[in-house]
Amino acid sequence: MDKKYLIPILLSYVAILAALYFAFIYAPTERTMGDVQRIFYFHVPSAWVSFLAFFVVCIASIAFLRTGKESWDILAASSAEIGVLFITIVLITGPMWAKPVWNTFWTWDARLTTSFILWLIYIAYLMLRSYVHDKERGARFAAVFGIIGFLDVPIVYMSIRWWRTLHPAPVMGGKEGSGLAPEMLMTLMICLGAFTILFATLLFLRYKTGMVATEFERLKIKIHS
Amino acid sequence: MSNLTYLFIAYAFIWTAIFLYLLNIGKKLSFIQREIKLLKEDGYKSEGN
Repeated sequence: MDKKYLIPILLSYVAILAALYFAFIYAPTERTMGDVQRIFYFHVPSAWVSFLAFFVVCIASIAFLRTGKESWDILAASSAEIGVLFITIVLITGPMWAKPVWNTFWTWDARLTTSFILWLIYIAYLMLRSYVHDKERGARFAAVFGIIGFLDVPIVYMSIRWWRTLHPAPVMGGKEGSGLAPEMLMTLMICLGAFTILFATLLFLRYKTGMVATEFERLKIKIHS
Repeated sequence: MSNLTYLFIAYAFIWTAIFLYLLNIGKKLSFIQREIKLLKEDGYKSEGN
């Protein structure tokens, strides 16, 4: 493998190993929920990464509509794919945590429902990209969709503040009395950092693949013409 | 199911999903690189003829 790919992969590997150490060994066991609460250390960073990914989609889509440069479209498509991967992880790990704590896998409360809608929006975004045959038109449609779709992200984030939900209240920036033990907060920060590095690596790899694929298409047309 | 089983399923899903996605990107990249190599070779051959 090319060295330029190997360095970010190794960096992510080390960051994830550190995150696993903190989540399973350093962080204390939560008193009421027990060990299942450790899902939190990867559930929250996955949600953060999906928000970040959809933010990149939004910014890259605006840049694509302004400049028409294909590289922005490739960046938006790459980030959307990674965002869908992480929001899927959120939607799977959430119920795994909910079942032993709430005694149900799923409930249609505001946070869960808006998260599910976010997942549907970006699944539709990826479907739109693959079903429109005119590539340039598809890219423009997707860019508009990517910008509008991002509107759901602040709604998901604010849902536990705006509505009364079964989902836990925010642990950071929440009401008085909310918050985490210092060791738990430290672990969460390490995990957030590790997942951000992982996101950057995946985005870099996916973007490079997209660029190489575009080059390949150009080369094919050039040779056959 | 015990608490640990749910914890295990959640973590297994996270790493399997990320690993499969990385594998998918790697496969796609090596396929395109191989195709580019073949295309370049074909191009040189036809230029030679």
